[in-house]
Amino acid sequence: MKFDPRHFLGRFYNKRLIIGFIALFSVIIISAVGLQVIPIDPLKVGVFEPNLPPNAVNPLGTNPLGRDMLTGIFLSTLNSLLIGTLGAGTGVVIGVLVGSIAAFFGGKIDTVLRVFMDVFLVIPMLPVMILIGSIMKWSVPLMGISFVIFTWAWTSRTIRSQILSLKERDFIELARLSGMREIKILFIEIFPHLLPWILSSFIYAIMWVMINEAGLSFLGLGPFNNLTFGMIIYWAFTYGSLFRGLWWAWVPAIIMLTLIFICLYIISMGFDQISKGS
Amino acid sequence: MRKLPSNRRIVIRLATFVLVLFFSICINFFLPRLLPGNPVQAMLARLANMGELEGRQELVEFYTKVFAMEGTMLDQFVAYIIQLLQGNLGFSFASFPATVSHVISLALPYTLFLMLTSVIISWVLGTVIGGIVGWKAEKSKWSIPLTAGSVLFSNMPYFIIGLIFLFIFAYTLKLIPIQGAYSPTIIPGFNLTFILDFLHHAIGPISVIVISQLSMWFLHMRALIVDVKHEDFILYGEAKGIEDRRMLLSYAIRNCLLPQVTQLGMSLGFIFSGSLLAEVVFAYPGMGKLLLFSILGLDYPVIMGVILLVILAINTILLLLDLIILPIIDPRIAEQ
Repeated sequence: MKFDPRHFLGRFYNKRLIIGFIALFSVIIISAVGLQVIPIDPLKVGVFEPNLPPNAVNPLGTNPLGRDMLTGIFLSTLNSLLIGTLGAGTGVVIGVLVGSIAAFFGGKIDTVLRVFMDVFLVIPMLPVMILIGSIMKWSVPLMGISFVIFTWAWTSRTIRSQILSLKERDFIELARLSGMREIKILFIEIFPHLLPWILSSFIYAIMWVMINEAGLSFLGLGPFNNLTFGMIIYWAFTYGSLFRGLWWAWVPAIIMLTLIFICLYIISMGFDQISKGS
Repeated sequence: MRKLPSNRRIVIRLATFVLVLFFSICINFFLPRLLPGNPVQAMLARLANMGELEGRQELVEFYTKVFAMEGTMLDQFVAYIIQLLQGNLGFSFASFPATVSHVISLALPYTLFLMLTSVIISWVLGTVIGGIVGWKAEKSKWSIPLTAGSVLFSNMPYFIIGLIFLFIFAYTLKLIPIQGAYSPTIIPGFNLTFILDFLHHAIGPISVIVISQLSMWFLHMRALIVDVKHEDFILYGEAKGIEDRRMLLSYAIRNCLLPQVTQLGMSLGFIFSGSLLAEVVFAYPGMGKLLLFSILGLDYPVIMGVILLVILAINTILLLLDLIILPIIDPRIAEQ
């Protein structure tokens, strides 16, 4: 039997989605394999001369702390994506839960939950994270999960309105008439229908968390005992690499971050296309 | 009976506003208490690493009074809110005899200047260009490159655009100054040299915020116009023989203004966070740089004061937008 991706992926067969995922996973795999293969610890300070230009041992040079840049970029890729996935993942799970509770029960519960969502929507994320970050000293996973404070609100707000509008559609009415229980309708009819949309907002949330992580780290509130793109740029900026022509301390990090954003954007476009098509 | 739903909307909106304030005050009150031990002692212990502090005893006394360390948690909370209502944000640790309000009042004008100028420029330009490009769609040869560029820029963090901008225009081409709001050799005053110098220094941060913002407004407006183009009233206008330019300006764009203004309100927090980082890149002496120095100097009172003020300002603007400005643009909102 021949392998047919169309059959295997079903409605998730989408060119943008496949291209985006292949690109993203190659970036992740290259980083993970690179970290394992190259016997350099990117976190050890002072292993090499600081500010070395690209050479045979350090293909991307070293940073002001004498850390190898290539392995540093590999590690940052994994860490930044981990922070994004943790923050966005927990946010989307809680958001879907709260949003469907609000839409499902309606009435007073709905009003109270909606006010709560609005509260978290209008509080600017970066300033509050600055406050939390200046008091807590966090590790990579803890920082990722902290972003849930903000990521859940947007998802739950939109999930709520999506479910409310879906509830009026004919096929839900039909399921209701055929005697299906409301909770069953929610899980069997509504959630599969919303899945591509939920996944697309998950990807957007990853990008959002990564932007804010980079901003926080750039201000010096990142995970100091580890490396993310924000931390790389922070070290480069703090030591003035920008004005000394030491481009390798910051340009590769920006290129890699932009590359990951492009991959994520293509994936989210794919999910958008699927959710609009269905 | 017709007014009732409208009142309900206002009540819910006000409740949200009060809750936001309450939440942010809670964060400001409880976070320092999560530190081990007494918040004042914990803060001072961190400060002690940086050397002996002048007026240390006064600080301890003052903060014991501000945070009202004696009594139960509830007493402390009430005392804290009373201090806040009097506009008392406390003393800055890093520049001790100065109060937090004073330190903020020095930085605020710069940030307001940057934000206002860049938001107005980018919003107006983005709305107009997005409208025209969306209207012409595939007929315009600029459509695809503009859209692709906007997608790229609107997804990039502000400070990264700032770094690239700084590297190209300040370091390599030496067209704009590297840092500050005015040259250290010029005495601030109301004269032409100072104003020109000030504007020269503002080009960098403003362009960065404008580039990023412009692409966002452009994409948003373009999507809106593409939707509106298929509405019945456009078809009717075309059938009536209204000129193409007039159709765009007074029919299509007019109908997209409401979501565009709503979006402006919703993005204020994001814009503000972005400008904070852009300020840090250009070492512009606004709130962003103040925050950076407060973080570096562990100046908690200033960090908290700035953040409380930011949340208050953004939410007041949102409240005004929701209750006053939007109903003027679209009277249907007040009726709902």
